[in-house]
Amino acid sequence: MRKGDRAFYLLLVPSLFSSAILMLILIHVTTVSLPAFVDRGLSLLTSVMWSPPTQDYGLLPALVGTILTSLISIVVVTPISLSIMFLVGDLLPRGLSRVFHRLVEVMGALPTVIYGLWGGFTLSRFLHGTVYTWLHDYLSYIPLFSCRPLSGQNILTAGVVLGISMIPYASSLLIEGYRAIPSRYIETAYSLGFYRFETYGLVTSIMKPLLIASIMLSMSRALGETTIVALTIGNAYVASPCLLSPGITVSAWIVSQFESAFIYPGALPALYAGALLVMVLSLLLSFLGIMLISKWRGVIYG
Amino acid sequence: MGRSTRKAINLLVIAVIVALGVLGLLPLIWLLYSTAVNGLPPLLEKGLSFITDLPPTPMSTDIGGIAPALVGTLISSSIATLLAVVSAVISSLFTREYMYSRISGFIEAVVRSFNGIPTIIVSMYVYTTVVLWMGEPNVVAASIALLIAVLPTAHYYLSSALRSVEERYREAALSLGFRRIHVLRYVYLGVARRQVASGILMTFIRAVGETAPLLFTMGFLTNSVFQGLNRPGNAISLLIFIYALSPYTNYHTVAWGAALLLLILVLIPVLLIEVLVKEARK
Repeated sequence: MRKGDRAFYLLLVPSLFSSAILMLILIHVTTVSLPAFVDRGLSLLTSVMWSPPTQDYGLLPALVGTILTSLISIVVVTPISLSIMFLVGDLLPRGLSRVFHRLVEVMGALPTVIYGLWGGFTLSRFLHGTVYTWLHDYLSYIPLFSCRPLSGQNILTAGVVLGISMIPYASSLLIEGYRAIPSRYIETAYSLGFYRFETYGLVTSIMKPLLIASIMLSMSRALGETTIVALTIGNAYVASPCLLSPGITVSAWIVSQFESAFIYPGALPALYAGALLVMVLSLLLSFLGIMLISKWRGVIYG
Repeated sequence: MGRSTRKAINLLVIAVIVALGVLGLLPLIWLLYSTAVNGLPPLLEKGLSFITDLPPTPMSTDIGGIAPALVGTLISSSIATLLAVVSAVISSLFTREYMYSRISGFIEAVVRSFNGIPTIIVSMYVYTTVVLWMGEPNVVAASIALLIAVLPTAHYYLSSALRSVEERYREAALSLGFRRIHVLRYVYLGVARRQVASGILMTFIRAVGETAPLLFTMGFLTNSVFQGLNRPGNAISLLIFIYALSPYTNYHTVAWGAALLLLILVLIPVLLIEVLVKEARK
């Protein structure tokens, strides 16, 4: 090794920059939120109140909203991205498949704030006039649709727009995975006289770990997404099982409360506690998803 | 199962897949359409002064312009992109050179788990460290928050760019007696220059589009175009977000106009990447 080449190890210092920031953020969020967990205990998670005058801070509405919107977004994104994978990977002719893939990538480059603006003003009005009224009229015996949709900005809209915004991400994960499957499996299936849907069944079962990983990674993104949710959910601090009522998520609540939380005693730790819960869950899901993908790749490549 | 049943199910499944796929692309078309329809009127009405005027007040009849936001977005995303790219070139070079070392695995794992950190938390962190320390929200703090938010993107694209350079080129260069720094310059950045360029553009696109990192760090400057890096600024994405949440209809109009401008600002690099990749394929 040349003398000057040893200096190459100096690259390590800036490379660890991101690790340092990750650690600092984790430590910061944990230390600030710690008093909230110690002082309030379980009531932090079960109380629906957020009232600075009485210093009563509960996170239940925000947590419920976060979980519900993420789950809805998964329900939206998974079947669509799976279909896009089959379309791009197999069904469409080559040129068309490339165009389709490019369009999905363009969709991924769009800023989330534009999704939020479109979701909050255009899509929510459309859904309110059509789908929501129908859901309430015919399915109101299901608790999820029991409340009267007052406006289009509610938990369901937030979840749907969130799901739409993640289509490019989930699709590109799945398409990449599909292309990694050795073609002999698929060719064998067709040569045995499989119909397309039978081959797709086979492909889906081969890709099951990847599908789970893509759900985990999408969920990890949905949990912390701020811009889209704040513009579409209606921002009301209520915990309701009804998807047609306006709600709130942890991140949207942080947007509206963060700066005033410095004034009210006890509000900041409670707000940080919500951030910590979301971050830990999100980091965990993202870590597990990545592990699952690399393990799956190991199996596929032998 | 009989043959006709299988045939019927097959058609049904294909129909469902096509329908869902089209449904997935429909939002893109709808979104572009409604941004154009709602955003064009303010842009046409104001023309060039939409990007040179100051934003309106709630009661004003004129819709004003978004000059502070445009300037703030260009400055903060350029700073963030530049720093993120420098940092990502270094870290992806390290992970490429020492691909099988334990530290590389660690760095990769950290950078990837960064995606699990909500960007709003980055904003909170930069607020309590940089903003409280400097006394007020400012462009530097916003750039730092953006930098942290786009770091994983920059690392992802640049490390895949470097990984696209075949091992034998590197080995050939080293066996010819290249210094490692020259391997970086001529082999990695030379052979993969198109991928590196599109990685930089992707990072810029992300930085331009991010909103959450700016929320507590940028401030919201509306009464002058630019006051300096250590003073509050504005950004297009931030302006859209705040105006969309406001109850005033003239603010909503400005938000749509700004959204169209933001869309153009993002789609230009997307087209550039398309050209770069296409030429590379030839």
